[in-house]
Amino acid sequence: MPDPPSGSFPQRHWRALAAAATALLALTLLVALLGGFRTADPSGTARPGETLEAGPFRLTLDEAVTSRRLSGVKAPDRRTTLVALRGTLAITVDEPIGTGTVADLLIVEGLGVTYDVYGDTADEVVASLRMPDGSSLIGVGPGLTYDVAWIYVVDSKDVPATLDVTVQEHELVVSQLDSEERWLLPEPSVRLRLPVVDEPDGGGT
Amino acid sequence: MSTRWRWLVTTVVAAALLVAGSLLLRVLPDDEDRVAEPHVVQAAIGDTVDLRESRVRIERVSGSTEVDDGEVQVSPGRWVLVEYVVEATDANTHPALVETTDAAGRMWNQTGRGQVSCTAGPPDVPVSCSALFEVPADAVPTLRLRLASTSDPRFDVLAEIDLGLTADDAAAYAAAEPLVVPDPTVGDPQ
Repeated sequence: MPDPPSGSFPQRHWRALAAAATALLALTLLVALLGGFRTADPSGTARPGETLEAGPFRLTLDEAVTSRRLSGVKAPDRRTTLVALRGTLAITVDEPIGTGTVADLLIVEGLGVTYDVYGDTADEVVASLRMPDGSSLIGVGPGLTYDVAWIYVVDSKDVPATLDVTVQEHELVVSQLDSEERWLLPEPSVRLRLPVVDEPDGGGT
Repeated sequence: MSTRWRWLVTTVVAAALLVAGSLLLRVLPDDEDRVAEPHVVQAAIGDTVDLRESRVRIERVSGSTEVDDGEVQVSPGRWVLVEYVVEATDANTHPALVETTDAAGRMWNQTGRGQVSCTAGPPDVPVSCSALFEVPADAVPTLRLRLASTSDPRFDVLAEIDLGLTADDAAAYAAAEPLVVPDPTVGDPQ
């Protein structure tokens, strides 16, 4: 194809630009499909009770128990029961951390079908984070270490023997829009496995 | 000018505008801009502080390890309840920023289990409000309440009120009765 009249952008430059744009788009898609540049693998394993640092949190996961009543939560009906991870939770920063970041702290595998606290099937695995007094923990302030239980509602016939837990750390991201700092981009940090112990009386935390 | 040149010029102009916008953001006031820093007014319990849109006065401070707000919540630290009176100046309002800090630079607000119980009253009518904070025991002796009309107090008045607490108060709160958070009331307290 002959070049356009003198004074316009040469045809071969447009082809080069189009090729470069296509290559960039293909590379972007490839990286996105592979999960981005960030690694998705946890860096190591931990033992129950070990103190874990996962920015901005400091936590321990001490034990996993199952019962029909735990920390003020009752299994919503006879086909369900509760599985709880007990431990402690604190933050390592000087300002409070809200419920959204807390909710992304743990990924728990092995629960099978899960339900919400009303007995409806949950679209995703969601924990009810409870204090020993039965109240919900919806955020964490600096200098405070809470005894907590992450409580899940599961099928009574499908209570797991062990829980595989992945602890995620967050990154402090500064917004380019309002310069606000937010803890975002949860990334697997460490994994641990806890045996699930039957606790018929549902006592304790 | 050919269509392709117009596209090229459009692209360059759009990119230049993005760069200009980014540079503009850098020169606009931000949290570290000293000119934009709030005008801090130091005060103590009982002082009336003018927050531009309202006048505020702390009435009393109390504490415990438990708060009974329908359900009992036990803290691993201390609950601190600050009761204060707000009088709007020109329009119904109450302070949007209500938080505490300590000498170590830590801050507590309504993220988590803290809460503010207040309502926007009409001008010159006192409204009794309260703010509940959950803090570690070692923060109690240096707690200061920060109040401002807006959640972002840049270019505005920020009241810093020393709560006047001591380590003895923190120890006494450990054995105190559970706190009850009062509902806000409009008009002179009965």
